Order: sequence, then structure tokens, then C-alpha cells
Amino acid sequence: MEQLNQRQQSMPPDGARKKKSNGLLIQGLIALGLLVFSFVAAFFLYIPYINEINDLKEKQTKLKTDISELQNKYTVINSLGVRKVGEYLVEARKYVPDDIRIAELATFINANAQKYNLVVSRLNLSENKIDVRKQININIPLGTAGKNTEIILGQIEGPFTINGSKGDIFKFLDFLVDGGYATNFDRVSIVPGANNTWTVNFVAVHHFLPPAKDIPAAYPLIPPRFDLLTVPTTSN
Amino acid sequence: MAVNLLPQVSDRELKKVDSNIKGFLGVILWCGVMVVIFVILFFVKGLETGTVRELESQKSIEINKIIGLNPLTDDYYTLAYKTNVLNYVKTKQYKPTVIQNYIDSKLDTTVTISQYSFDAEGNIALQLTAPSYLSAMRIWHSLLEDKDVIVELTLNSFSQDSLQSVTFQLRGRLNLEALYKKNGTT
Repeated sequence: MEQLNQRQQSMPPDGARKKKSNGLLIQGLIALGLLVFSFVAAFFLYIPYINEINDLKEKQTKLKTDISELQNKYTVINSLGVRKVGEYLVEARKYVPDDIRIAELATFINANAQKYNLVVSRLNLSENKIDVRKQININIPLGTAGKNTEIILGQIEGPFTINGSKGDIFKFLDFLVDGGYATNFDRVSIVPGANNTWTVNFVAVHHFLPPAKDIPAAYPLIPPRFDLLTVPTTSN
Repeated sequence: MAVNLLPQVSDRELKKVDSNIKGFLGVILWCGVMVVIFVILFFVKGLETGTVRELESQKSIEINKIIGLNPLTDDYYTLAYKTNVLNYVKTKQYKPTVIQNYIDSKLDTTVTISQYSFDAEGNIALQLTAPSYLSAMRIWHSLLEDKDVIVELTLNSFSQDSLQSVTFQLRGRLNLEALYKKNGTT
């Protein structure tokens, strides 16, 4: 009995117990509030900041790559020099000129055919233009290039009919290929005629490419194929 | 007799005050940590932004250096395009005499060519007249022998007249790459 009384005395009264539990509740609510606040702060403040920092780091990596590419491009182009590029261009233009005038080509073919004792009996030239980026495996990303994204190759082709000896006809066709005046032939048909003369019908394809103009600095570096041209004799 | 005017505080109440103070300090510390994190992030972002600006300015300098090279840059690209186009054209290019010589080498001198044609893809068609059936077969056989170069060959028409001469037409396809390899021309 005495023990029971002692225990009752040591236990707080009902009001105090309620007050204590209220205090604990408030403390718990504050802790929870802080937790929620930290999450909200992290979500609305820290995470965007961290994302922005990551974006900036990515941008830095890209900029470093761009700078390195630009430095390499400058070194490559500058080291070639005006004279060497000019000499190589003269060679390249022999095969792929900047422009071909159809009338001039017709005159040229007619004049040279005569040198091979051939008679041009039909000449019908037509011109078309195609974008050859895919064919020459040059990928120019739109984002970096902006303008000048197309590489337009002109093609002049036409059916020719030439009469003469078979040997002369083939020599003439070879002359056109070797001299770079015709870069390809198609649909060649040779028929023998009277007096050992042959008639050849063919389509000669001539290519031309206008010079590049105002190429943006951020354009990717495209290496020229020097191996296809005769090396210039003069040094830079 | 001395009178204690101070409020009477029990041990439990003291503990409670102590715990409240600890809790308050915890809150202050927590807020402090959050502010410190924010400040660190703010500074790091500022630092990274500064580096980006510096790199952008360096990039502008490099771009200006390249622009300063003009018209050399334009000429360089003209050269690059032309040579790459030339490379593309050359892969499809052939010399007419190479085909002529090859076909002629396969034909007998007694054979008369009525027509022969070929195109850029290597397709050939021959209209021939041989003095005899055996001679015609020999030509066909000799062409068929070279399987590396002549990848397809079909006899399209065949006729024999009263003088035993045979007129026939062959159609086929040449592997131009193999042909040029054999003839040392690319």
C-alpha cells in the first residue's frame, strides 16, 4: 500500500503529462518541418544550382574541344600557306573547274576531235546540279556551319556521236579523261560503218564545282586529298 | 530571516529548458549548414561561369585568327571540296581504252564486231559475227573463263546462216575494279 502511494506521488499529474506530450509533438513537428524545408530547399535551390554548375562544366568541355579544333584548323591552314594552296588549286581545277560554259565545251570538243581525225555529228549537252555531301562523305553539322552547308557539284553531260576510226575514237576518249575535261563516260556504244569508220555514241560527264565562299570559322576542318594531285614543285 | 525571492525551479523544468536550448541550437546549426551549402554552390557557380566566359573569349580570339586568314581559308575549303569530289569521281571513272583493249584481246581476229557498247557500271553488250559455230563458242568460252573480270555473261541471240557464219549477241557485266587492277590502272 505504501509502495503504491509512493508510485502515485512520483507520477506527474494528468495536466503535466499532457503538457509534456504537447511539447514532444511540437518538437517532432519542428523536426519534420525542418526536414521538409531541407527537401524543398534542395529541390528548388540546390538542385537547379547543381544542374547549372553541371551545365557550365559541360559547356567548358565543349568550348575546350572547340578551341582545340580551331587552333588545329588555324595551324593546318596557316602552315599550308597561300602559295602551296594556290598551286594545288591550279591542279585541282584541271579536273574539277570552277565553272564550265556549255558553248565553250562544245567548241573545245569539236576542235579537239578534229585533231584526232574525228567528226562530231551529234552534240547535245545538258547541265544539272547535285549536292554531293553524302557522296564525298563530308558531314557538316547544321548547328556549327549555319550557312554554306551544301556542296553543289555541277554536271554537264550529253550524248555525243563521233565518227572515225576505232583507234582514234578511243584515243580521243582517253584524251578527254586524262586531260580532266571529262571526268567520266557512260553509255558508250560503238558501231562499225563503211570504209573502216566507226560511229561512237557516248555520254561524257563533266564536273565543276564553284569555289567555296565565306566559310564560317566554326566549320569542321576537311582535309584535302593531296594524293590525287601532282605535288607542287615550289616550297612554301 | 532570509527570504528566497528567486522563482522555484524544479530539476525537470531545468532539463526541459536545457533540451529546448539544445533544440534551438540544432535549428540554428541546421540553418547555418544550409546557408553554407548555398554559399558554396553560389561561389562554385560563379567560378564556373567565369571559366566559361574566359573560354568563350578565347574561342572568339581563335575564330578571329581564322577569319584573319581569309581568303586562304576559302581557298583551302575550295581545294578540300574539289579533291574530295575528284576522289569520288575517280572511284567511278574508267578509261575507255582499258575496256576496248580487254574486249579486243578476248576476240578472235576472224570475228567481226557489229556493235559493242558499255556503260559506267561496267555493263557490256557485244554483237559479233564468227566464221563458224566453233569459233563463236571459243569466244564465248574465253570470255567466260575470266570470272574475276566478267561477272555476268549471257547469250542473247544466236543465228547461223547458210555459209555457216554465226551471228550472236552477248550481254554481261564487267567488274571494273578487277579489270583496272589487272591492267594496272586505277
